[in-house]
Amino acid sequence: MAAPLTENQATGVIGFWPWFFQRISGLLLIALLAVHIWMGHFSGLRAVIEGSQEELVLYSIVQQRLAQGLFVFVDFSLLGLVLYHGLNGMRNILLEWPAAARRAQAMTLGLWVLGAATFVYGAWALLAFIL
Amino acid sequence: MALSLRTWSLHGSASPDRNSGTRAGWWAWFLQRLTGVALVGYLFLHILVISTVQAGEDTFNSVLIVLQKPFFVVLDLLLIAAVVYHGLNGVRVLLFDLGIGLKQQAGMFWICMVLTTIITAVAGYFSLPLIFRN
Amino acid sequence: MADITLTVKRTSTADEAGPSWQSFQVPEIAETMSVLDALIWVQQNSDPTLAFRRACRVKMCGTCGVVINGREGLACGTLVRSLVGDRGGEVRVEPMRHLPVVRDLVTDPGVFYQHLAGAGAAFSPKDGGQEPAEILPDSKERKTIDPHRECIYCGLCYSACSVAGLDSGFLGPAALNRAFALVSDSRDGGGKQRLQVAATEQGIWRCHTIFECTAVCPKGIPITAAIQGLKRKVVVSKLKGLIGLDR
Ligand code: HEM
Ligand code: SF4
Ligand code: FES
Repeated sequence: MAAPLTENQATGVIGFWPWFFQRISGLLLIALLAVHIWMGHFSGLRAVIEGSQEELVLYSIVQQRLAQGLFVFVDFSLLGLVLYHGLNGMRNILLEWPAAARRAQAMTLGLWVLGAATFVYGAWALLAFIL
Repeated sequence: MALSLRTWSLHGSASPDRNSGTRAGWWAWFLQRLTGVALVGYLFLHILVISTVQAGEDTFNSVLIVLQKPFFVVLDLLLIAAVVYHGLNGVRVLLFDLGIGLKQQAGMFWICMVLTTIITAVAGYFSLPLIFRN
Repeated sequence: MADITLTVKRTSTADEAGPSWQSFQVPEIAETMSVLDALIWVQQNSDPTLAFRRACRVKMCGTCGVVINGREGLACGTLVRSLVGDRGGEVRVEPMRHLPVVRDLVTDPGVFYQHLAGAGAAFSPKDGGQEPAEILPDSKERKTIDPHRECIYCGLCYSACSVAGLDSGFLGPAALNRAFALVSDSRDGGGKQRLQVAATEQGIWRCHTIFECTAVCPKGIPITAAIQGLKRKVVVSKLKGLIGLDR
């Protein structure tokens, strides 16, 4: 069987595993995001409905929430997964652009470095609420 | 011929003897991409905002006060709509990967749209006190 | 029956200026007049230089694919009546997308055929061609493969596919549909190798289930279902390989 003549042939980059983990991470994100958004914004709903919550959400409230054991776990896994899913998605989009596909390896490496650095930075920020 | 802008052309009419439909699948994909990229942009901003806590409680609070002004609450609702749509359509795509619903793909797109609207509207209702605060 | 306006996107080989739209008044000669009939009328009565392709005129050969009112379709298989009302109207015809235009409505299907060849479109018999090999009409296998064997290689799905438009390297719907038809056919010996080709970086993983191919296929082939079928076959074999069940 002859190989097709293509513009970005031999890039060897859009493989099975990125595709597979995009789906797995997306599935996990549903649960994590539900907890994250609910706890962050709507856990005070009763107070809002009863009109008893006059104040804005400020440090003390956020700190109380974020230091809870469940939330610590949810937020650190969320940070890692959402970075993987989001940057893997960006990679998928960029690879449909032949100029980027030709430099696929460098781009993938760059995205991993960006993701890792952002994870460290985000984790550092989160630690302020726990410690 | 790499990047054909004609791909994005929207004009076109459905006709009875062509099973062309509403282009629901195209819109589903386009919106999935649009919301995906927007969410990545938001993710970085979000991390940046939260990290201001490292500059001290007062800095953090002054940022939070600004971000709870009506304008930003409305932006938050757009964010909710984007996340909800992307997540729901993500499930739609996942079902296709399991071989489920391929014949109902257009209907499933409309279900995603309706659910997104309802959930955003509910969130909007509960945000009213924040938007019309004096 | 009123006249219709047939507006054609014209590209000439000599003209450096690029494509331009040209309108023709065409009498609607019958209720059953197809877009191809209208094109032929123009060629015979107003402009003999109008270039388009056709052969069978009955939706069998797959030669006359164009984009009609922004939508892919066979010129011979699309009735003017389905596009305009009693008082006439405009029908806009342009060449298929994602393929180089040779002239007017004539496109060069080279890339499309290359991808078919690349995906291994040719049948390769399992037992060195020993006849007879049969799949009974009411068998499950027959029901699976039959719709996917209807392809007339018109290229309309390729023209409608947004991924093909973004990257000419993508094998495209027709090639992957063909691969699925052969992989699912017990008489074919290509098996594993076909799956490997379909699962390369230019194959199935690039499909975002946009369903445009399925929407325009004049043969009603569930093309997206074929691509998803290939994905599932590969996922199962990869996961089996991972836990050592593949042997
Ligand atoms: C709520 C849970 C989520 C689910 C179930 C989900 C699911 C998916 C799925 C299945 C895809 C693949 C679509 C395709 O191949 O056409 C995808 C793509 C993508 N997702 Fe998500 N996702 C979720 C949340 C997020 C979040 C929070 C972000 C942003 C950080 C994000 C960013 C992206 C991007 C950039 C793409 C690539 C879009 C494309 O290729 O067109 N997703 N998502
Ligand atoms: S799959 Fe359908 S649209 Fe694509 S080439 Fe074959 S007949 Fe034409
Ligand atoms: S002329 Fe043969 S399919 Fe239209």
